[in-house]
Amino acid sequence: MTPVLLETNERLSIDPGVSVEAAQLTRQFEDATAYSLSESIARPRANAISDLLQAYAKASNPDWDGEGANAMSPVAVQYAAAFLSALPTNLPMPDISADPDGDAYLEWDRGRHEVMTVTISADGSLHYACLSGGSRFHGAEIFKDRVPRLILEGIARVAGRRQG
Amino acid sequence: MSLDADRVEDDEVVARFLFDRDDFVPTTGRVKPKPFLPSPEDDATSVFRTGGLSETDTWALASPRGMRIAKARGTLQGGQIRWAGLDVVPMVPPPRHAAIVNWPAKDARLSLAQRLAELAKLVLRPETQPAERAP
Amino acid sequence: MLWPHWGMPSTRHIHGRERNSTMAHPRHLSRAPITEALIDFRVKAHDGFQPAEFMRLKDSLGPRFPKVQERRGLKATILPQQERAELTNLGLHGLFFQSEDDKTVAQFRIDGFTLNRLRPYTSWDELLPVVMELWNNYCDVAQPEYVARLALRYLNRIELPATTVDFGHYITKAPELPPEVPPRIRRFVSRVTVEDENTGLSAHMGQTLEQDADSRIFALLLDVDAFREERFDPSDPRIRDVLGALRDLKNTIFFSLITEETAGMFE
Repeated sequence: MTPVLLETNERLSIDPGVSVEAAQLTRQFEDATAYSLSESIARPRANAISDLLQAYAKASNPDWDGEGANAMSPVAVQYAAAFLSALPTNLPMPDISADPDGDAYLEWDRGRHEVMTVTISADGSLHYACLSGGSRFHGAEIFKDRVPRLILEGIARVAGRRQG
Repeated sequence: MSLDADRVEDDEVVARFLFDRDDFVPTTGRVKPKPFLPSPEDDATSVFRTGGLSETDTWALASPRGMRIAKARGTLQGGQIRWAGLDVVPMVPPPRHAAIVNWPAKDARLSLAQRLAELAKLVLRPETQPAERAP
Repeated sequence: MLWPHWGMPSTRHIHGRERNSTMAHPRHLSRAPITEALIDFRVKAHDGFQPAEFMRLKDSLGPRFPKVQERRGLKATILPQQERAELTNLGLHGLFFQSEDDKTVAQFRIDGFTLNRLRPYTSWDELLPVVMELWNNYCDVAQPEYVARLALRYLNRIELPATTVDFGHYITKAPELPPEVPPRIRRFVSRVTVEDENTGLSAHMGQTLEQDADSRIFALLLDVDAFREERFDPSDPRIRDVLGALRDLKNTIFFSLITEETAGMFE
């Protein structure tokens, strides 16, 4: 299979003749950098994609954490990139890593009592939990092409919407 | 201090050792939720019973992971873990090892990890310890 | 999705209601919906130039732009069948100088210079002198061979009620749906590139309707990117004139995309 060559931080170079999987991943990365050079949109997204790729590189082998963690799947990376691209442009990007299940782990952390967590699995399922002040909620959804409403509300609640 | 082989008491302190700098916030004394999530191997979160130990002996419990040494630990009492809806049980060997168990389905466990992080106290490894070597 | 013919104001009947899609007349909007303005110079770097040399500007720019960040390239090779990724650091690509409030960013890169101004936008009269001054700084250090492209890009965000059905109240080129199709639009994306052969100016016009975290509103993003691809000597005085012409084109396009009702929301 022809490898996909991607450069983040504004530049994307894509090797021609890629597979269907890689093409989908390519499109998602292109979507993520459609506002190239923009500080309000492109840079946060490019940084997020870069963090996602680094998380994948760190967690791509079984037992990457020394405690039996599952390896992160490139398909989970693909879904995570699509999720990041689907976030409204006035919401901040999360901190990104891998969790012990090998899922993409996205977190908006604003303090001990203000945390929103979303994990994204290789089958496209989203699991989320929100802690904001005295209230909490959690749930599960399947990611299609939009970020589920409750997840958006949790992110906005914890991290706040930028005005415009 | 003698440890009950069958039960971690409610007022007994357990420690979750933290190897990744992104797992805690030194400036605010916080542990983040993710390190409390269970391992898929046994669906449990590894902790150590540190009651009665000196700081030196406590840090000695944290085996290095490859080239990485523990940078900090998050501490909880057994009762806090049970109040959150989980349980913590002895699981030896190694000595003083225990595990947080009874984790529910994924979205609920994310919420419980947030709850444990709310309750946990952060203890940083003294800077006099040898610096971590780069992997 | 059917689009009306470009260029002519028209009155249309949509779902039994008369809609006037005449563009707004251009004027100053005191609360313009601009979320970011970018003025961009793409260059051909001279051989051997190293982006680290931009550090020479740290002292002179420091008072206005005290935050300096390195921008590095990262290459990721993902091999799905082998389930691994290889990451390669491509090295320093440029330096970003940021104002204390993070609202103004001057990007000094090996491939060009960009000034970003985030909300709140000030004015063209305030921005242009800063752009030209920093561009001169860029040329002093980088000494590019030539300018290959000049661009002005303005990103606008307009919040609409989530109950909106007829977007023609707000934009002049809203999507038109066949009557057999469910009328409620949840999202749309449009990107059109136009060229004026007489002036040599071109523009990308983007319209995106996206969901907002607040379920009571839609966010309509209008993205106008006016540009000219032509070789200029870096010190060519025509550069300033071209930037002015791009600004005029950008304004023409923006006001042609919104209705008077929308313009009134930002006065």
